[in-house]
Amino acid sequence: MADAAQWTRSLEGDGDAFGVLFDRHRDRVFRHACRLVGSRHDAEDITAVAFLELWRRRRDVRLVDGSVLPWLLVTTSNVARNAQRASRRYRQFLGRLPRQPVAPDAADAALDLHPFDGIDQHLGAALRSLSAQDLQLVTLVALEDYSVADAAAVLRLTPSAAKARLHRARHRLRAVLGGLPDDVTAQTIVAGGEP
Amino acid sequence: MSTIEIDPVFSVALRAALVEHVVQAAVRERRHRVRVGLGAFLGLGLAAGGVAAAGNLLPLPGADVASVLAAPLTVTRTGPATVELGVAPEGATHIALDLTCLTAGSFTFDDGARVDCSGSDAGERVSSYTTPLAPGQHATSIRAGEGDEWRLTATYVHLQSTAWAVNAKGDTYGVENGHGTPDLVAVEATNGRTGYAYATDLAKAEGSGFTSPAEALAWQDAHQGTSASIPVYEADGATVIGEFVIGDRAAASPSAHS
Repeated sequence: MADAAQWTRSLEGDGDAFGVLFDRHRDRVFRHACRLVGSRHDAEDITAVAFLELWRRRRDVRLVDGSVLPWLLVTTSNVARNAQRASRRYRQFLGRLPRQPVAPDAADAALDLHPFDGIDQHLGAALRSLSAQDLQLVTLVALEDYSVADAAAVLRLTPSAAKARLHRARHRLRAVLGGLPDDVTAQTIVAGGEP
Repeated sequence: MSTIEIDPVFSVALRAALVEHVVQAAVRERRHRVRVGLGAFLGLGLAAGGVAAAGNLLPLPGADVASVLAAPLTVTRTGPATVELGVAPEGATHIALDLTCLTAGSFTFDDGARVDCSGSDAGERVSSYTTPLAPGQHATSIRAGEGDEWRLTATYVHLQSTAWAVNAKGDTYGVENGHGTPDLVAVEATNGRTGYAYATDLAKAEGSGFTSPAEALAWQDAHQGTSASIPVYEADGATVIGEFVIGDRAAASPSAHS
């Protein structure tokens, strides 16, 4: 998806162009945040922080095929790993955003019934146990279907280094998830490491 | 199959806040750039006969209009270095220089004009400076500390002065140039609009007209860490269209806390 035009305009201070990028990638970022943390409220905060970080670190952002999404997803992973630290920076900003009344939370109730549709506590914990770079690789390649080459470009790794890291990360995930019952999501992620 | 959706109330508010955040950041950046530009303009250049001006002020009355005579040359260097520009083309009167500091440090042009960069300026801050071309000159130097990195774009140009305009009150308006300062000096207001500030207001806010060193020192002590806002007018010198902030960078920055 081509974000280049909106991204360039955003850098020139066009807030509406940034709004279009938010509309375009909000759901993917939120879903990824849900995978990594245990509550919808936290996932919303992480979504907000990911977009704020996209802006704060705008000089460092790398587009992949003209898209900011890979960078956003990597940032989402980083933010989720350091949720407390990241939220502290933006506490005031987050505190001003209104929310729907909290109880009863239909989405959280649905999650209890269908845990693998959204937040997967075991997988989330396993993912968070990875190092920052391993989590970023798994995010892009295993969860979001980017090529190893694209992921390597975002993470400033050589493709071969990325491949080797990914292989090790999958092994680690498999070890952490080993004792779990059948779990389609987790199986999909760790199976990719097999030849 | 159920999927979780982001809270729509939160999402709408977040989107609006992000849009505002981007707009405000751009305004702050612009204000910072203009204040830096003005500081450089008032503090250096004129005494040496050079002309420094923010690029977006060039079409205003009194501005020197530059015609580009050769393709720009861009080099990146570390530490002090002389940049060979090649033989000056026919009609060249000045060299237009855009210096970007890539690390923190002090970077000094040939004539002693200096740009001081902090770590946060690195790679971000571009200082534009136009220096007169001496007969036979074909190179320019930047003095910098060992290990301090910079990028310079140099262009041979022909500069032609334009005259200040005069408004109905009889006040001159335009940009500062080699002839001095007009009554109303072109500035960019914090809201991004281009207008004019009274030179007397600017001088007062910057601190000038002291009759003794003691007076200057006392002024400095009294104003350290403060910033002042002065009105920005249309060319008529009466219609206020915004404000211009001068003073300590930290004091003027809304995100800074002491």
